[in-house]
Amino acid sequence: MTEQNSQQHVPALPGFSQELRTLFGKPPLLANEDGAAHEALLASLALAVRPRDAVEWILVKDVTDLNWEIQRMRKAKAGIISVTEKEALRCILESIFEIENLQGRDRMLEAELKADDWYTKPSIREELIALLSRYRLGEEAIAAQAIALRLRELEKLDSMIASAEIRRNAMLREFVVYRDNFVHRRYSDIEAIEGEITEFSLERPRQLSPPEPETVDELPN
Amino acid sequence: MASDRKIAANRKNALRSTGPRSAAGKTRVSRNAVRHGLSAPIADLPVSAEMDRLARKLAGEFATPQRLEQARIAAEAEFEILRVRAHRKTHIDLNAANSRAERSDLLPEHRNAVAIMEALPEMAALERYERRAVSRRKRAMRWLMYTAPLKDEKSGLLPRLRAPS
Repeated sequence: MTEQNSQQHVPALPGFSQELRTLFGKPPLLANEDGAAHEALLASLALAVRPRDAVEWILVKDVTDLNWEIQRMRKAKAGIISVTEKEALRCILESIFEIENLQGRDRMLEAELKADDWYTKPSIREELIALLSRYRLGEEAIAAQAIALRLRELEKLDSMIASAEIRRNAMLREFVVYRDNFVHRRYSDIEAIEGEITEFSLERPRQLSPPEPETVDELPN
Repeated sequence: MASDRKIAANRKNALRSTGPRSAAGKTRVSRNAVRHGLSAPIADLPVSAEMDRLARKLAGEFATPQRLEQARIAAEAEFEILRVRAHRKTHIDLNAANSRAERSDLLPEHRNAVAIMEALPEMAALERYERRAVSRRKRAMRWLMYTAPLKDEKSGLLPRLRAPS
C-alpha cells in the first residue's frame, strides 16, 4: 500500500468511463501511497460486481475508498505501537531500576541509554532480555506497554475503523438493494416488452390471414 | 480620556484602514474566517458544473424535474464526501511532511502512522461531515432507485436495456 511505483497489473475497467473518472476526481491517496494498488483494488471489486451505471460506480468506488482507508488505519495502529516501543521499553526499565534502587535522574538517564542501546547493540539487548526475564517479562511486555501508552489514540482509531466498516457494509447493502431493484425493474421491462409482443402477435394473424374468398353466387343455368 | 483632536485623528485614520480595496484583496479576506470550508454549501464552489454533469448521469434517461432534483442532492453529497476525504488526506500529508522534517529517525513506513496519530482530532471532526453526507446521498439515491421510470411518459419509450458488460 505504501510502496510507490509498484508494477502491478491493473485490468481495464469496462464501463468506468473517462467522464466518470474525471467526475470522481483523484483517489484520496497519501503522498507515499501506491496509486496502482488502489486501482487494482477498485478493479477487483468492479470485476466481481460489474457495475452497470453511475449509481453502481459511485457505490463501488466508495467501498474501495473505505476499504483503503480501513487498511490505512489498521496499518497506522500497528505503526503507532512500533513507534512507541522504545518509549515503552524506557518506562519498563525505569520501573525495574526503581525496584533495584537506582535513584531519580540516574534511573531515567540509565533507562534512556539502555532503551537506545536495545536497537543498536545486540549484547545490551541480550542483557536487557535477561533483566526482563528476571521480572517474568518477555519482549511482548514491551508491545503491551506501548499499547498502554497509546491507548487513547488506539481507541480513537478503533472507533474510526469501526465507523468506516459500518459505512462500507451499509454501502454494500445499498448496492445489493439497488441491484435487486434493478433486476426487478428489468424483469418488469421484459414483461412489458413481452406484453407488447403478445399484443402484436395476437393482432398479426388477423392482419396477415388471407382474405375470405368472395362467395360467388352460382349463375343460374 | 482622549482629546478631541486625538479622537478626530483616530476617526480620520480609521477611514483609511477599512480593509482591502482591490477585488483580489476582498476575495482573500472573505476567507479569513474559513477553517476548512466544509460547512459551506458546495453549490457556491467551482465544482458546481461537474456536479450538474454527475446529477444528469445519476438521473438517467427520461429524467423528470423531481428526479433531477434528487440526483442533484445525491451528486452534491457525493462531492462533499470527496471533499472531506481530500481534506483528511491533506491533513495527514502535512503531518507526515512535518514529521519528516522533525523526526529523521522514523522509518518511512512509520511516518504515516505518526502523521495519522497526530491528525486524529481533525480526522474525528471530519468524520461527522462524511457521515452526514453519506446519509444524505443514500436517501437521494434510494429515491432515484425506487422512482426510476419504466417508460417515458411523453414518448412511451422504454429505457434502453443494457447487457452487463
